[in-house]
Amino acid sequence: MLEINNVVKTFNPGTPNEVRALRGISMKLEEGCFAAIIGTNGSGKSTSLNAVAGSFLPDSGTILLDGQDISNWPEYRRASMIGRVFQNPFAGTAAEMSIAENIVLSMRRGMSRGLGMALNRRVREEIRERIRPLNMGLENRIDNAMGSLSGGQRQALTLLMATWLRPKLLLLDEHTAALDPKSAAQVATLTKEIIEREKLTALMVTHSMQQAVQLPQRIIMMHKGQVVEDIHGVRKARTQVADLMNAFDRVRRRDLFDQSVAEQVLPQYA
Amino acid sequence: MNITSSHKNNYLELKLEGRLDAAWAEHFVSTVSAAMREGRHHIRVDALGLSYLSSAGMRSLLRAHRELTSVNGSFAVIRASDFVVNTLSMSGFDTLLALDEAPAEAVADEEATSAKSKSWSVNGVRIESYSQQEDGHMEVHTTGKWTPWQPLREEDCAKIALGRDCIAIGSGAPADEWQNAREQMGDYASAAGCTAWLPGTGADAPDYLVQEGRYVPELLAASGLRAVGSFSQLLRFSPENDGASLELPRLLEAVFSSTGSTKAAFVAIAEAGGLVGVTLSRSPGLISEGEHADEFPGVRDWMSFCGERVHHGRQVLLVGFADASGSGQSQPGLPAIPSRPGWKLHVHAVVFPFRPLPNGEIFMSECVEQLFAAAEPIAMLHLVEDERPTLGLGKSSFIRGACWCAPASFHTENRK
Repeated sequence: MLEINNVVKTFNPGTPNEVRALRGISMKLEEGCFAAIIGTNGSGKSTSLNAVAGSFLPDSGTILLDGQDISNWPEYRRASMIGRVFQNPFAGTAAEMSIAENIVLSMRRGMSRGLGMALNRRVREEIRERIRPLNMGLENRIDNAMGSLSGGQRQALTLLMATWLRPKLLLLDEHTAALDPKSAAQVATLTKEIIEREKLTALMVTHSMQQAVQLPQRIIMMHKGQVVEDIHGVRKARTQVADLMNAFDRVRRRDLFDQSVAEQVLPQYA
Repeated sequence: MNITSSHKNNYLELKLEGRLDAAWAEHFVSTVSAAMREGRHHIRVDALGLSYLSSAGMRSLLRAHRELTSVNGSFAVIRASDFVVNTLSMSGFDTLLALDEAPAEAVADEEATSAKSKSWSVNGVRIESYSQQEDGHMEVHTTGKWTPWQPLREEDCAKIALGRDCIAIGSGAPADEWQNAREQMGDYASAAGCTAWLPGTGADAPDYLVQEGRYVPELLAASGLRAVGSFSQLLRFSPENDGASLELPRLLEAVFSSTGSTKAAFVAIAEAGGLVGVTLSRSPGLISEGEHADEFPGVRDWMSFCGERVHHGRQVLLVGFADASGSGQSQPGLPAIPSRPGWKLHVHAVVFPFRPLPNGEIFMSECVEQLFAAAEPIAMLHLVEDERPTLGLGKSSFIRGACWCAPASFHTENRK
């Protein structure tokens, strides 16, 4: 469903602020695959997600979604195929508008919007039905302003809105990181439920090792703009948080193993 | 609950004031564990100030008793008020109660130790030496003919048995056939029929093989050293001051002086101050002809460096061989170390969760078997010294433990 081939992106090239954010990343996600991207700060996790979403165009490499080369598509054009949930619960919804008004916008994402009434009784009933399983009591508050809800409630609704039209790809950018632990756990569970029920292809950036172990079928680890580990299949099934911590440690130790270390330790391994 | 510790001559007294219940039981057990880590194996609990004792509290007393008796220590409740006596008696745990007196076992231990051992201090660490086998000696043979980092061939490997009669370290894999072994060659260490082996597949934790019944672990060894014989000396060491620890060369100096030899084989179980080492992260069986696996940066695919001093506070099994004779001859399997000109050393460390050792004279087989029975190994390292100026991690160091050692004779097999 998603194919990233050797994508390179350097920000501020040729300046003292040059950042080689993506150094030729490649990955292929089959349809229905839910993968998490983990990595240290500045490893290129969110940049990878933004490259797919079209927040910038890559310097080189290609991105294919559902068989179409979207590498040069602008962000708004990709939005018809991609659902996104951001870290900031306030980023995915309009605070001044009601729950129903926010949702009705997402119901017509990528479609033409005419001058007819967007919210009629049938649509309001459909909205209530879809948000009832959240078990947050929001189905009785659909006319309340989005800004009156808690971060966890807003993020749960954003997730619902992002998947309302079953996107070809769902992008989750640390979408539970700004929530309190209880809300984060609720939204994480909801994420897994929705992705499994709708059989969505999804890419999630997370800093939570626990989430990376529990939610997705595959874990992609990035370091310095490159993919360094791709854990899937039976290996994913036996992966624990400690294994991911060890993987981080391996990457860190490799960075510390420089020429001077090699000169010091190699004669002692004779 | 308030716990006040006071060090008596031969034992530690813990005065408990307040409630020993579910909320405080873990705190009490942690206090006992911390005391045991410091080598305090005879503990008396002064229960006069105890106002309440729940079943959770009682369980914590029993746990302390069980852990202390497992290291030949002792535990008892003294100065118990009537309600504590009644509670323990009615629950059938009155064996925990004792009169207000010093534990006889502690006095006996001290007398036995002073009669059988010699002691001295090095850098704030007290070392006691016990004679074990009077004519103890180790015959050390090289196993396998692989020269790091050449391509490894089937004919370089030797099949070795790692039973209770030997100690061994090196690189190898537990497989009957070369094809199975070549992709998994990794570092191993063996003592008392217990072998830990870190597969050279990038694995984080070692696998292990323990001799049981007629089963004797076997390895296909690419290179290494294997010794048979018996230990002549046991060294026990522990810090006299907080923060003191023994660097590996200092421990070896004690080994050389107590064995009266400049060549030695040893096994140690010790609490790590910090380890510095490397591991094979990829099997040398996969080195192809013409490949320079020992060149930087490619070597990082084959070898992993610890990057910082690791495993502080964990229990480590060391198996090693050392030659400080200053002989210029190179000995396969015994590389030179940077800190001591003329010294050659090969030590593998198997890391376990901390578990206290009994005090005094103890025996290697029993202790190693208990170590493997109690917990799985966490990590394995080929110890190295990092003497780089400023950035160097230094030498591995050890806080307290036991080291069994013997003079050694080294024999080299013919190498191609």
